[in-house]
Parts: sequence; C-alpha cells; structure tokens
Amino acid sequence: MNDKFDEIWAATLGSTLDITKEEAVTSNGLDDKTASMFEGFHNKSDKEVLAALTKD
Amino acid sequence: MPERNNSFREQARGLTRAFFLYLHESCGISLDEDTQINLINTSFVHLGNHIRLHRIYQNNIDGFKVCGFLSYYTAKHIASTTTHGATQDPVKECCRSGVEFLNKLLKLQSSSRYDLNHDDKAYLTSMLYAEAVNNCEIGIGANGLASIFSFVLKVNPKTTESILSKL
Repeated sequence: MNDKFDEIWAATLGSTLDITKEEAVTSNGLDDKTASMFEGFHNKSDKEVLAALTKD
Repeated sequence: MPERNNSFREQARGLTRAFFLYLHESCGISLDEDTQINLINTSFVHLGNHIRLHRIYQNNIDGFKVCGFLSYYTAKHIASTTTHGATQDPVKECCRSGVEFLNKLLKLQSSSRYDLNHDDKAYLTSMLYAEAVNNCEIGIGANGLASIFSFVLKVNPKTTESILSKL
C-alpha cells in the first residue's frame, strides 16, 4: 500500500509542488497544526487515528 | 523542496488513511486495498489537474480538496457496484460519511468554532448523492464540495443558525 501510494503521489500531487506563490492565483491548505496531526499518523494505530478526528 | 514534498506526501497519506478508516467506522463500508489505491489514484489525478489548471499554491496539502475528491469518487464507485435507492442505501451512507469527515476537518481547523448543523450536512449529502448517481444538474461534485467547506472556514458567521444559508 505504501509503495503504491508513493508512486501515485510522485505522478500526481507531488508534481504540483513546483507552482510558486508568485505565479499562483490563490493559496490554500491545512493550517500547520492540523497538517502536523495528519503527518504524524504514520506511527499511530487505527484507533488513535479515529480518536484524533473526533477530539474536541 | 524534497523536505516539502515529503511533508505534503505524509499529510496526504494520513488524510487518505483517516478517510477510509472513518468510512468503515461510520457506516461499515470496508474497501479492499486495491480499490482504495484506485480511488486515491483517480482522486489525485483529477485534483492534480485542478491545482495545475487553476495555479494554486499550497501552504500545506488541502484537506478539503483531497477529501472532497475522495468522497465524490468513492460515492461514484459504490454507486457503480451496489444497488442504490433502497432504504439502507450504501451510496447515501458513503456520501454522509464523506460530508461528516469534511465537517470534522472544518472543526479541527477552526478549533471547533465551526460545525455544520444537521440540515446543512443533510443538504450537502443529498447534493453529493445526486451527483454520484448521475443527477448532475441538481448535485454537487468534488470541487464544489471542497470549496463550500473552504469558504465556511474563511467567513465569520455571527449566528449559530444554518451557516450555508448565510453564504
């Protein structure tokens, strides 16, 4: 799953990161705190991932 | 650049994993690994085209867009492989799960200041369902769905009534 995901990433969204702020019409994305949370899911269990989604 | 690429890739991996876990948790729909990979691929191809065409700079990965595309293509996949229109409609459940997941992203990013009410979520679910079962003229697809949540996060509603009715 991880290897296939990496291949898909490289061929699709990974190749869009060369768009610079100066040439863009708009910017978007997760805030840093939420981005960090999703980035850290690689060493979390399924239960921990689901719990993180529902925390208040 | 490699660091940014690795960071964005892990954000996207975390989002897709959480999306499919929540789909199973919320409505019991479990998709095998090959199906998940195919849906991720389709979603990322279309999202990549969208980002390139509209020249979007990304501060971080856009969770609303990733999960808007996943919600739409997963619902279309379920619609093509199951019978829909029944009382326990798996396509409708899938659409509901997608909208709920997007709302969770909205809550996370707004520190729980924004939380769509039942009527707003039902309306979005109904429109996503229409799109997934080819009633496109009365539906909403991946881009529209993601945009709605992005715009809600950017506005500052002064009321706890329906947020969508104020847009």
